[in-house]
Amino acid sequence: MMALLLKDVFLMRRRSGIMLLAIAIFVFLSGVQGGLVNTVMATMMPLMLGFTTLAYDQNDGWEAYACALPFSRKLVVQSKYVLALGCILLSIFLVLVIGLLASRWEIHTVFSNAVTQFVFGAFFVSINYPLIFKFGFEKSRLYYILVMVALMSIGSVLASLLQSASMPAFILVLLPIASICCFTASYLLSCSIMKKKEFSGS
Amino acid sequence: MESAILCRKMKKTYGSFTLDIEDFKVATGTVHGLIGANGSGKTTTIKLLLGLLFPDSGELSVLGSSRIGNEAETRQHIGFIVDDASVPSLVTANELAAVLRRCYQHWDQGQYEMYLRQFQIDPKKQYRKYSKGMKVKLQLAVALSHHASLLILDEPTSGLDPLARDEIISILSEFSKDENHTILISSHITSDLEKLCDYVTFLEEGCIRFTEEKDELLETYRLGIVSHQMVADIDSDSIIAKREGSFQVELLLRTEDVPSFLESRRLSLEELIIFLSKGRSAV
Repeated sequence: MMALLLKDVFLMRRRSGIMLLAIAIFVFLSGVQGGLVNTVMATMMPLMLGFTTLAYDQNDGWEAYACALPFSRKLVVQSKYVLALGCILLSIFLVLVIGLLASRWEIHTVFSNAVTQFVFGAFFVSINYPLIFKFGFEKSRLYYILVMVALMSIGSVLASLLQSASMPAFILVLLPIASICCFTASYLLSCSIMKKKEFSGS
Repeated sequence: MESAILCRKMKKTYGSFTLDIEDFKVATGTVHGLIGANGSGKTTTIKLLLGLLFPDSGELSVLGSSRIGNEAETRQHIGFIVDDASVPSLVTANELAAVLRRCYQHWDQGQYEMYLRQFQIDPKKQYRKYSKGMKVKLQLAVALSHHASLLILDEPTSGLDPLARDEIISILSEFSKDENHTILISSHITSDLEKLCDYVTFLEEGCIRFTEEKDELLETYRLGIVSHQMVADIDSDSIIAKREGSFQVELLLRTEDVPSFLESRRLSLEELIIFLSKGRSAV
């Protein structure tokens, strides 16, 4: 697993220049101004780095190469989900740090923000990754845009609910649990897709 | 002799193409060449052997494993170069080594660096910036740096200049000296295979036409060149294949069937393959 993650780190290091700037801007805006768009973008930008590694892997033929190396296919999938989870947690941490330092967030804001980021990130990965493993990054682009729009719409409703005082506290617990279940199911589905995947080439 | 690779009644269909291998063995300690035109099934065979494709039916065993696609442990002992599968374009040779030494149990960093020096590969340059030849050489360096006992190489010399091809053939030749080392190499550059291989398998339209010991194969046939009038003097049953030109006819005959009055010569592997694939229909 470390080998595959290290490879992704090398890729991200080379493709993160402008992305790091975007991450910094949205993390700052999310922590200072709040708002769904900023929060979503602060989660999306680090995740996009993970997506970029998938695109490069498929384009370069690394996905096939890795499957001929002594890595199990499950491990190839696992490393991508671990990376995505790392990106989500990192974005939550960064936004929280800025929010606490700059805006002195209250505990409710801290939780609602973290939940919004985690739920959005987890669902985004959960829906897109199996599609990318199945159809490839290029062909999944349309789905990816549709998923993005759908999640933004659902997210805006969700965010207003989360920020309202009348929101039952159990929702704050239920939503992350639901997204963890979805994330796990997505991982298992991707493993199953990858196990049967054939690399017949162009 | 033990088999490093074994395929029996193996079928694989995708699209309109079907690979149908009745019986194919690569003995341990030998260099086995896979010859065939583009689209004959060489790459499909190699991808099946590396677990990148799964057979529809039949048996397949690589280093004793019948589930190579799902058995990562066996792949510790295999070095490979295969079409459409490559190292990440943005990593350098040094970074690649950092990844692969965490993947191969027997990664030999010294050997890898020795190959990088021998191939004059800049270890700090990104893979995408290498020439085609350099890319192949880097992949070969990887394949040779983890003490693999089996090399499965798909067209490793394709697109390379003669010097680079010769260098690669020499390295593979050196590797094959160890009796525990096996190489399966596909190529349509038959002159490379002629230098290197102990056995050759000829694939045509997804089927194996023959598997022969190379030297025996080249000794079995002779090329006779005769005028059109003289063809009638030769027993037609002994003509395996023929190619008619404007002034003369080239005949492929078994060595023992060559008449004493006929001048004949040994064929190169390339000539023989062309004759066997094209000339047979002309008899």
